Amino acid sequence: MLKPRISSGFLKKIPTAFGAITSREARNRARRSWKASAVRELLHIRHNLRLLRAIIAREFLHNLLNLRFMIGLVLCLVVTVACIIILSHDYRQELADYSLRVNLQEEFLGKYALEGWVGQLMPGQKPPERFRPLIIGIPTSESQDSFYDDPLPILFPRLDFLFIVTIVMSLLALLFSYDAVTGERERGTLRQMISNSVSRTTILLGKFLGGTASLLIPFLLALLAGVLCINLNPHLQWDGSAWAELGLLLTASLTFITLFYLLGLMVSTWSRYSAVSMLNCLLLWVLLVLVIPNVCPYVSAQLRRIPSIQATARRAEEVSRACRETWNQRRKELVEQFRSKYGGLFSKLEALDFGMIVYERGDAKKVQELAAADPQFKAMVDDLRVEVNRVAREWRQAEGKATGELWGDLYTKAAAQTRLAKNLAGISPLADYVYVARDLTGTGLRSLKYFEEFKGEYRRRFGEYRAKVTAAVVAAHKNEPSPPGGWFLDLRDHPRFVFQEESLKGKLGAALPYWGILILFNVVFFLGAFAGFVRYDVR
Amino acid sequence: MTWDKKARKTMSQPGVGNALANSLSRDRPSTARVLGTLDLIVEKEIRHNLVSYKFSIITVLTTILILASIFVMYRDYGLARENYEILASGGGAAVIPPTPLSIFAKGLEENLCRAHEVGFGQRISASSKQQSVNDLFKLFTVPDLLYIIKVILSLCAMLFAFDMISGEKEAGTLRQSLSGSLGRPILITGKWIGGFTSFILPLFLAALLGTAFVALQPRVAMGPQDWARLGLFLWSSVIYLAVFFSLGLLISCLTHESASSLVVSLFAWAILVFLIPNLGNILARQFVEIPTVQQLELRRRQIAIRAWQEVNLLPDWPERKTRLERAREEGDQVTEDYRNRFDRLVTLSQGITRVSPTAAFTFLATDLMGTGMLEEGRLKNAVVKYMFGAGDKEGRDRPKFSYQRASCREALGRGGLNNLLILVLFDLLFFTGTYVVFLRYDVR
Amino acid sequence: MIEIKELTKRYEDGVLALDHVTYTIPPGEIFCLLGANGAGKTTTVNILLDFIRPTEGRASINGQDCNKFPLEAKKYVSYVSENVQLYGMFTARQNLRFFAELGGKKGLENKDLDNAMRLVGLPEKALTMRLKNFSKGMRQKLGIAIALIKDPPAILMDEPTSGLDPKSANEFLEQLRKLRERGKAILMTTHDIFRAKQIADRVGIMKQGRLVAVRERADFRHADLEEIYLTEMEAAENAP
Repeated sequence: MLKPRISSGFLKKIPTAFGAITSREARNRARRSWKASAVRELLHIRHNLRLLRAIIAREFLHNLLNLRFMIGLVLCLVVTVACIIILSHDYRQELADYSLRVNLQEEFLGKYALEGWVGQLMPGQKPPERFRPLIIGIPTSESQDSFYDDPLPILFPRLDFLFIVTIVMSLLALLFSYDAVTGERERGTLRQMISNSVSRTTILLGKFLGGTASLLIPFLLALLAGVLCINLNPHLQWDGSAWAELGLLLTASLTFITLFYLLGLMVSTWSRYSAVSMLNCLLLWVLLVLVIPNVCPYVSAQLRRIPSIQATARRAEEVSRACRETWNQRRKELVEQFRSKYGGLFSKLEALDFGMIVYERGDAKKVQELAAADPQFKAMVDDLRVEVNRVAREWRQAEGKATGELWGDLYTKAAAQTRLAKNLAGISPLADYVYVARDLTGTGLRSLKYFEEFKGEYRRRFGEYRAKVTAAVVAAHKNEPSPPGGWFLDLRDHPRFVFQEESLKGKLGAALPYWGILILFNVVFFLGAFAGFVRYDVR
Repeated sequence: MTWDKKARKTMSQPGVGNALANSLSRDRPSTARVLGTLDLIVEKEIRHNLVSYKFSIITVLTTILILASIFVMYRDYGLARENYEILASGGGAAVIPPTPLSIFAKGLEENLCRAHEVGFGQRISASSKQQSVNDLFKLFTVPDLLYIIKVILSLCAMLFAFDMISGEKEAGTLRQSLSGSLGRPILITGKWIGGFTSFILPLFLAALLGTAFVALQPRVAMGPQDWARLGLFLWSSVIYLAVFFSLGLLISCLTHESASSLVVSLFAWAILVFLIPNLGNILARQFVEIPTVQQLELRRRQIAIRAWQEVNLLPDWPERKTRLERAREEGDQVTEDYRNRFDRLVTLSQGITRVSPTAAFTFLATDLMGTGMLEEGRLKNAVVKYMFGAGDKEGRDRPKFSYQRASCREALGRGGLNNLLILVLFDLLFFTGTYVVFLRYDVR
Repeated sequence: MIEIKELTKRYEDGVLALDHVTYTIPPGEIFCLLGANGAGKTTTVNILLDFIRPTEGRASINGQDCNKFPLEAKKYVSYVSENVQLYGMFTARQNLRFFAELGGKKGLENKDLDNAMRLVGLPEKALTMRLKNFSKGMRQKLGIAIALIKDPPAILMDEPTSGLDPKSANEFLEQLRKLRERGKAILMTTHDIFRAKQIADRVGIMKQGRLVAVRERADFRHADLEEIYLTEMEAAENAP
């Protein structure tokens, strides 16, 4: 076993240097010897850099002449171009569909915006993500929970750029590096290399840099072809921020790919035979890429149980029913109270079935006339109205609180489960990369949430606008009874729903922790490869 | 030793026809002797594999995966069952119990086990899936036995086979084996049988172990139909894995270095397992104009709103009824149109992606287990019929929704058998290819 | 100069690969190490190249300890392994250039490389031929070319003539003579008693890790080296 050793000459000089601080002559002597050592070190570094360059060039060229490079290049190009062309076409279709939906809504709003129905008609369609030609986004719950959903993607997950990087490139990276060290040993060239005055660190570094460079060529070429396709597409208008996001995505992808190259390198330095190394690499690949990410949500569902959605819905319904019962009870009590308080005056109101004040029925117009005529009557009616509203508010609050607690409990537990799943899956570099890539490009869960918040904010504004218009219309028709469904509202000037993506800073902030994990993996694997290589038996 | 390609070519076997004739007529060996030699090869192959690192790693990995997958999916089935019990106790909703076979092939089970109710505007609404609250389910695929077989085990099958010929050539043992009176046909057949047996046996045992575990659980009730389905599923898995094994062996015979075999095998695996099925589906979508689900929902909602608004203006009930009827017909037509397009899409998809054995196997397996596209279509039709076909009985008056999943025979009849035949065809194709190529393989 | 002093190597499983071996190879001498498989010949070379560490003793090249300062020591030595494989997809020139650069020779032009290769007797067409099409003899010659182009004071060779046809072996020995004339210290391990007799200045006979005998050229020029070899081996067996 060989133990690693640091370059000895320079470090040994330090104690002597300190000892010689006392006399001037000693100091001069020390200074000269320091200078000489420094120059020697610089020359040493320059020599090593030259060796490093030779090793990088050789590794690079050697990989290029290999069958796996050809196959990797062809595979990457074909898959990327096919993917992007098809997804661009998909994007065009979705964009057309989106425009159609927006127009349908506008048209409908123009014709059928009755007071009571506007709630059902509010705009807020999600446009297809601009990275759609590269990365397929996550379907919204609207399309998932419909009876008429499209379940094919469940059986066959769709192919996109993420697939190319996570499956194709990671496999290719392992294929390039699994025999980086074992192959050289088997060939005898490792012995030949080490018989020269070149440190193992230099060799390892050279293999890493040269190998990664050769590996990235198919990837970058494929990406270039893909970006060209995107550029040629007239429907795609990417602005500066989109290109910035693409650049960041590319960098994150590089981190992921080098991670797997280093993994293969590390396994290679801990094996003697290429066949063994290959099997170990593929075993690790299967575990990290295919198994762990897929198993984690299920494990988390077992560890952090959440109540059934249906059960919660049923319970919420029961709670609502109970609250409504209470409300009815309180209304009856209120009627009794007022009857005993106002006596005859109240019976007049009762005859008109309370004029829509207590229940949703009665002759409101008549009550209004009576109130206008008789101030006492009016006082009673106002009083009643206040009390009824108070009771209604109480009931609504109670119901809201109870159901809110139920749903809140569900959602808190669900969030805990999701968090656990996300963290568990973070062991797999694939999961980390998926989080980073989806967050950066706005095609992930974060952007869905962001969209929901944005939509909520818009609907609030829309609600204010609508209240204004409703008030105006009601005021205009204040002496007429409202028709069934309410008055027609002219909402032609309503604020338009224009979805603004989250700022790059926000997205980057969310992605950084997971990117950090990827970088950490890189470091760990490189150190692992280093540890394995310095003790590697080259015979 | 020169590596002149030309020299190699001129010295290889003359022609396929000649080679076949030679192999069949040489010495006219007796059946007993042939079988005896075959037996020898098979035994040597199995013994050799049993002590190899390759075998131990792949066996350990796959056994752990199979058992872990069955366990995880079994727990998931438990949750689904609890959910079903809650849903079924309340009235009005149409819901079916989860099938225990979903432990092995989840497929579309989450969709199938939703509660269906009639919602606003005569639209059938489906309840949200229990998994929808954990966003991470949307990012990754389900790790059921079907996934393990179609993705991971197929890779393992190719890894088992890729260096059976080229590796032996490099080691020099192929030359040694053929230097005697051993015929090439017997050698290659023996290698196939020995190799595949040593590969599939431990997996089969692991799968049986997992199945036994599931069957012994009190919560799991599997009827005779279910056992038949499971049996068929396991058999078709064996046929599916044989396809990849044969392909790996074929690639081994087409290359002369095991490193090249590895690269080509991985390439072929990636294309067959991932590329063709997934790209094929996206491609199918290009040829069938189908609106998105959002558009469909929007249209239906608008039809309903329009109808209700107009209804409020109508004075009496018969007119209102006709208006509502018309709205429902309109909605149904939109849905029908969508459904027809969707069926066309699925048919086209299946047609295109069948080129890959993985796609054929996925369709076959999910249909057999009752969690596939076939079942989905059947269930939706049944739900629609239940909701709107029972005269005008609403709410509690309606009899409870009962539904039987498609039988084995039906699953096989509606495309399942074709998919099975495709797999068998691939098997024959690759094995024949291997046989033919090996007859003129240069063993020097 | 190659110096081996009390070199001992004991493996973890107790096997004694080298047992207090001592000898020195001055510049301009070819020292052949003879012995059966497992005698310790390759172990000696491995220690000199710092592939393994000795249990006791010291190996040094040009005064630099091979295991304490391996990078320093390797500046002065070249290695020709038994089965020179190199990089099959590269041409002879590319292989030579790479290993020359590793050996510290920078800025070499094509003609320098070609000269080195011609010097060892490689035919013209081999200069730009891919290594996977080389015969064993040609590869061996390229191995020597790599050693030559570095021009170090010491050269280590591990079974260099095994598997060579007689003509190639003769050409190889011719190269060795030229190297000796240039004052290189050469350590060559071999089975081939015939070739050892032809080329060696001194011969060391190893058995089970011990250096049982060292014979000068004068001793075996006229005598039968094979007989000496077998006698010494027997004596070693009978010795306590």
